[in-house]
Amino acid sequence: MLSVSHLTKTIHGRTIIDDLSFTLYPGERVSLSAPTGAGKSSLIHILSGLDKAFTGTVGMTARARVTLFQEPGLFWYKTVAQNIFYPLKINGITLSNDILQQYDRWMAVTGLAGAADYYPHALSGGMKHKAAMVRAFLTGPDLILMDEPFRSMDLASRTQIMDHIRAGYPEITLLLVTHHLDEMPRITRQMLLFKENQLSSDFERLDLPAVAGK
Amino acid sequence: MKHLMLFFKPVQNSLAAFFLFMGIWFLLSLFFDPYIVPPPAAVIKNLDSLCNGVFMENLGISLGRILTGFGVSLVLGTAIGIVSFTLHITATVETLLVLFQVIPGLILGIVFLLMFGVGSAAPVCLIVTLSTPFIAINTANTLMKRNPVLEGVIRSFNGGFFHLLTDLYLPSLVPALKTNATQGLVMALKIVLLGEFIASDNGIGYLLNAAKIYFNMEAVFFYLLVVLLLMLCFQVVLNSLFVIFFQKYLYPD
Repeated sequence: MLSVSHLTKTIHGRTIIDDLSFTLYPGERVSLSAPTGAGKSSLIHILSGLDKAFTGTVGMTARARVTLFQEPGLFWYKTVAQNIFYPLKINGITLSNDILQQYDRWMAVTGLAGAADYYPHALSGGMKHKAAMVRAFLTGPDLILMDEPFRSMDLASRTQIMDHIRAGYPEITLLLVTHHLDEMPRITRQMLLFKENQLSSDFERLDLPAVAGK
Repeated sequence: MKHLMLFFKPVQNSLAAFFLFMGIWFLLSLFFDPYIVPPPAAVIKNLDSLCNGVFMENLGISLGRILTGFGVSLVLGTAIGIVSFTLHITATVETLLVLFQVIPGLILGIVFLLMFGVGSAAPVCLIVTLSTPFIAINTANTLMKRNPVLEGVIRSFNGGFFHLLTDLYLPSLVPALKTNATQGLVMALKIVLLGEFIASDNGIGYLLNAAKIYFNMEAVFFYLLVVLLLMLCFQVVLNSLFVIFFQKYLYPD
């Protein structure tokens, strides 16, 4: 699904990702933990196809890849519902019953049901991230890249949403960048642990303990 | 009340300027003879005779020039701003446009008078020449303040340049368009007065000049009052149009 081979990224003469290699097979769900400034967000940008300035190779066989960035990235002039359906609209995907059912479930889980007609400026940071998450999942991705998407949410919301992803999207391949250790076992099965202040070949791939209901 | 504030908040400075002008005028009238600074009450009392057919005709001529010059400037300035951003030549274009901005309007007015003679062409050209650079530079600079997060979102959902343009760049231009329209119209009003003052035989600027020559200070103050009221009206009308049609594109306070 995703293959990173000898990836190196340098910014202003400083190597922030050094000879990184790993593979994600279909259906694998992996967390990535590393110190702040180690290049995690840079990696997500590269894997998203937004940053081409690197050496090494990134191979991808995903049919549909989406990224949840650190910032929710909602259009300020669109309502929550319009933001959520935006990717479907620009890709010419018609709203099927299945999508609408998924939408209703997501709106209930995230507590956004009453805020569908709100503009982003009327939402809290956590609600904006929730809307971005619904938008990402409704596109029907088989690979999802997440860069700290839960950081503005309270614990109860985080847990509820992660349980929904785990139960509703068991086949999805997922790479989650996070600092929260409690998130990792709830939504992913493995962890890439980087101890140095840099993403490099020096990391451990650890199995995570199962969480109830996992 | 909230909706009322949406309309009037942006014009509160102009309203304040209007009342400040009235206050200063009133104070000055206490210290000067009425034939130099007539009191506001005297001018208001003579409104009937000042608002005559000649005035209305010249007001219409000035408004026509203002709206023509402003319309051309807005379209031209916005187009130049978008093109210079798209072609990555904003810095070069800005340098060229600033050259136009540093030329005093009076000199340009005389040049246009010599080129086009007395009439509407000189004031309209003056508006276009002096307002377009401001609008173009403001447009280009707004487009250069990129939103990398939303660009990333659009591109990550397979959106191309068309989507970037229609869903991000053009909507983010609306606040700048509002500033351009408001400031551009006020600039157009000031410039047309200057143009008519030096290069026309009609319009409010011409009437102002004539009133000054004949030392008709009641008329002079009346025309100044009209100019201030016009500015206020322009701002209220433009603000209303943006609130009604483009409110969602304006960044929330």
